[in-house]
Amino acid sequence: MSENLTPSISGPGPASTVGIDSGPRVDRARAWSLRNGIVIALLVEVLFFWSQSDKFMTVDNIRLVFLQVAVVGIMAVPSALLLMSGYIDFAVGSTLGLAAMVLGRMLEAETPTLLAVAIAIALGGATGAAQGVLATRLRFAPIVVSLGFFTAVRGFTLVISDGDVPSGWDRSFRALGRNLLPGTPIPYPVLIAAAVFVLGAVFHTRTTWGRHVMALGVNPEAARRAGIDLYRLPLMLYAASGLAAGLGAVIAVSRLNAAPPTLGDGDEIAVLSAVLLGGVAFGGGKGNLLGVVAGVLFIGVLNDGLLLLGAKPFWVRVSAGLALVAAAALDALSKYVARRSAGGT
Amino acid sequence: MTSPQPVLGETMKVENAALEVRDIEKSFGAVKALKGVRLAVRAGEVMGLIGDNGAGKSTLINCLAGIIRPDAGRILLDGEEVTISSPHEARQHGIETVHQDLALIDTLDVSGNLFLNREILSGPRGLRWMNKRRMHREAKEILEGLRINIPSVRNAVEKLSGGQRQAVAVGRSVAWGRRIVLMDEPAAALGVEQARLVLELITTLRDRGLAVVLISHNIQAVLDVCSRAVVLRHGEAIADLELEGVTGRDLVQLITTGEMG
Repeated sequence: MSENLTPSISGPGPASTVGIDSGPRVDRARAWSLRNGIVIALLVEVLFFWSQSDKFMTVDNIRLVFLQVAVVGIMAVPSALLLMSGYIDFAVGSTLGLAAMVLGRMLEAETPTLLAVAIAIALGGATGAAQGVLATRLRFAPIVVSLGFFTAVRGFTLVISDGDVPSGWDRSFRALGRNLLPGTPIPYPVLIAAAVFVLGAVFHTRTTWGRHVMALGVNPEAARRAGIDLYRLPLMLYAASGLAAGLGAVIAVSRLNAAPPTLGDGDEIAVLSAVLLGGVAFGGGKGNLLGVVAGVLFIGVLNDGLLLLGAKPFWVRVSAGLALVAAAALDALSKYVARRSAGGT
Repeated sequence: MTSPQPVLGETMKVENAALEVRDIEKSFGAVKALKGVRLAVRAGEVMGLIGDNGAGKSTLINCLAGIIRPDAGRILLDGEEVTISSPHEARQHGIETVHQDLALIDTLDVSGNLFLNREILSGPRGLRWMNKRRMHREAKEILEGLRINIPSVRNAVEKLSGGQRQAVAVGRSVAWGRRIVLMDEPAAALGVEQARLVLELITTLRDRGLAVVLISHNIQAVLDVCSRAVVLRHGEAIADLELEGVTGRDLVQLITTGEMG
């Protein structure tokens, strides 16, 4: 078809290709450690607490760490994908609280358990989808919409609770949040979180949706010109984020055997910290779910370790905020290094 | 055509046009960007679309690429009227576009950009995953077929030089264009040598029987690869002329004064 032509475009002469070819292995190692700095940080953190407390590296404690981050981990998956596409759901904790409250009220009223669970999860999904419609199709500023939902949904939960804490239903509902998979040391919530992560990772790396999520986050205009719908995927992810919060509510209520109106308060910070620490860029377009797993565990280990070392529980709140700041620092650092290495050519 | 005579204010009759645009109008607020533009391109023809900044060239291309919708007028492909209301529809009609700002996803690799929203899938119905290996292989074949030299199709395009990025963007449209390829300054910001190679890719497209519309400020490039040119001025097509025997000075004069000496 083009035998008569010999165009050969290879950049401005041989000099420029050197930048790409010089030491690909070193480059790759540097890129990996930049991307996965959180994995190294997690290892250091684990070694530190291990050396400081002999209660840390025990089956019971490890299981506790995983159990305590399971709900945040479940919510972190759609949150991470949403952030990659350039949007944010800051209302996951509030959505969890609302779904939990409604679930508690239904269980109190002796609604069949399965029905109550389905309604709670669907309610979470609907809350997420409502937020999504405003932030995507109607083009409201996503962060503002999300802050509005964060406050309004929590407030509505308090209204429904009217000051009391639904609790004291059939004990069989407690199995989901507490029991272990028979024959293993793995609690059900951890199993569910692991499944959600695998599902999310397959979505992200193996499907065109995952690829288009990244494309939307990097360059929405280019994505649009390639014929990719600007709003369909983010809207789906908002709904998924709400569903995850609903699922989190079911697990949390089951574990606690009660549905306090403040359930999930602060989870949005934990989720956001985990996702950002995991290397997902705030502006979108960057990150992978393996990093997010490390981010989630980093926060779980931090909380657990601080308590083991005898810190007062109030410090957990301080460490959550500092972790968020640390995520910003990590991001700034990686950008600085990237700029320096790019400036060389 | 020994003495080139531009047809001012009216479009030359073109038989069997692959793409025809009739009386396209587009306003942005009070600004009339296009005031009833007509033009037509044959298959196997490269047409230059020239004019000063703000003449409406990119607006016209964006109408054809489905990026903006014209307020009035008709678009015909092979004589059949079509509406192009999204970039997706433009693609379905076999129209590919190379934009001035390239429209690449920086963090995605070369093959990912070549196959963006055209990913190769494997697996049973309803459970399809991306076949990255096949995309890498086919991307390599496409680029080799075009003699475009990229170190690896697995490199993120942000790691490539400006010329290589341009090559990926042009290569994408060359690879996928079935009927019409629209190019908005495809050789801008390129060195002399790479610019020549982009022009050679354009003639490849022409030889394959596609209709190409080339926007360029580089008059010499237009004279080199185009057989005809339409001159836009203040949102109107003021001239449509065969380029044989036409000099660069003629074109510059048309662009700047609207008249030909």
